[in-house]
Amino acid sequence: MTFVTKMLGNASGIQYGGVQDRSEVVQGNAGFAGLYTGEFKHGRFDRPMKINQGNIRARLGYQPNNPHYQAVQDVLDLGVPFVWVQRVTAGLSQESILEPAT
Amino acid sequence: MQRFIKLATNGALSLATSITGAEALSVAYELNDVLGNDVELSVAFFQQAANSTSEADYGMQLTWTDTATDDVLYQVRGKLIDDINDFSSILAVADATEFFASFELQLQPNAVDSMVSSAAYNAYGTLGRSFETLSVPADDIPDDIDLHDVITLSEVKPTYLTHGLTDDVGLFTTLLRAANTLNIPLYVELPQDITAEQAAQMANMLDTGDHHVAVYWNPTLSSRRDAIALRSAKKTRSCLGVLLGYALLRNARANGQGIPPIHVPIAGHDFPLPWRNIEMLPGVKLNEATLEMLATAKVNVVAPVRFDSGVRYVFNDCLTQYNSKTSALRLTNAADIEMFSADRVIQIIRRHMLKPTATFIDDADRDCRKVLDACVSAGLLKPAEDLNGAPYTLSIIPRDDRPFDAVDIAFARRPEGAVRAAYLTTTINK
Repeated sequence: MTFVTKMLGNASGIQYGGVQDRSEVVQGNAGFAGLYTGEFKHGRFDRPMKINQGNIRARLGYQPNNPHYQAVQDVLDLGVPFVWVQRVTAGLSQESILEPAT
Repeated sequence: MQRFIKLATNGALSLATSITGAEALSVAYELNDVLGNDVELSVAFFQQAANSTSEADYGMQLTWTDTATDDVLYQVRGKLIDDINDFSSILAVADATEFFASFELQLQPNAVDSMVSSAAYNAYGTLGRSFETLSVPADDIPDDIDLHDVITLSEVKPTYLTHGLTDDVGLFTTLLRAANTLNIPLYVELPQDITAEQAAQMANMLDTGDHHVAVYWNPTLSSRRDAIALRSAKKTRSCLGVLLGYALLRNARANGQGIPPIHVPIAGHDFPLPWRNIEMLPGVKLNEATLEMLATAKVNVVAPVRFDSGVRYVFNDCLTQYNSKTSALRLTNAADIEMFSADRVIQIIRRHMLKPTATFIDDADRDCRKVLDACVSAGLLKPAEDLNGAPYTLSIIPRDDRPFDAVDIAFARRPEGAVRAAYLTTTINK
């Protein structure tokens, strides 16, 4: 049997350091993900959800009059396979841009 | 929020936030999602073998439904086996859905008798239509979520942030911080039920002066997506979904070297809004004075434009909120190129860090140039006067003050622009 080891001592044998991977390619396209933040009926707050045509109703709650829901639906209707959605609440601060707090 | 589905010894089912310990059967679950109103949970028990009295031969089906639309939100069905390693156990089934933060089952020795006396019990060989419905109260909205951390620490690094219809300064500021941390664009949309003056005023008051931010306003009415009648009522809607969709589709058209055509701004003739029966909001007149006011406030408005191919509703401009009259960073595509090229260089540097200095310089320089050359050939970077005609310059050299553990990297480039003004002079001659 050939003696192959990762650290060769005094014994006769072959030290084999494994393979170095130099085949990786530097990719220009780092992957593109659109994140839409909006208010919805259902869904988690602690991380973005991956929404597609199949799960949009169950994950976000069907609300045809909610502009945020429509916007997510618009993304998918253009033919994008999925979009990341982060649910947020309005009123993180009560300060409105039109009526600055005094 | 943790909830308990409880089966009392007399067969009565209930949903509660605590248990007494006297229940014949209880399921403690906590969803990752925060549910709103109108949710119902239907529970059904099934006997899976004739004349069996062992709990392992009984199954349970839980279905959460949105009663407003009859959409099934989640459904879990499995055997009443308190063993997570058994694939047919309701515990394993629930865990596999990844909808639950926790899901636990508790059975008393008399559980079978209680199930049989329940109205939700379906004996072996029956039609299996018995179930009991429990109303699920809306969950409390968590108030301890740090949105900046959620977005920036997410496993998925977003390349675009979009938020519609905000007039909430706190939310906007948080999103702006997140966009700055990630060095990505933030597209926000102004509410539609305001006048052009208010839109300009809002954009001015946001006053970020930041090239990450672009502000959109969509004063149009159109048929709803799900309208079933041709002459249905027209409603306002958000344009950000279309903008984000077009941006993602454009980026997917990467060339052979993986560089997306981000030098093409999402605006103008080639990116029309695809809605039906679209028209301007009554009261909004996009005349010369109004368009000038909106452009000064750097608001990209959705407007009908008469092209030779017909009238299209398009994003009428491609301005960021950057405060300058001539800088490249005031254009969404140039800002996008700035962020993209910086991000690629940062990624390459991070990948080669913690290597010997000479190796780092060789590898990082080679990889950066490869990507940047690809950006040049894709049309993202253009020859610059300041750089002696080169589209970019890059230098990586060890620092004199920290020769062993630090390098200086200088990166300059000239992004492609976009024509948003044309000066036309014509003459007629004799």
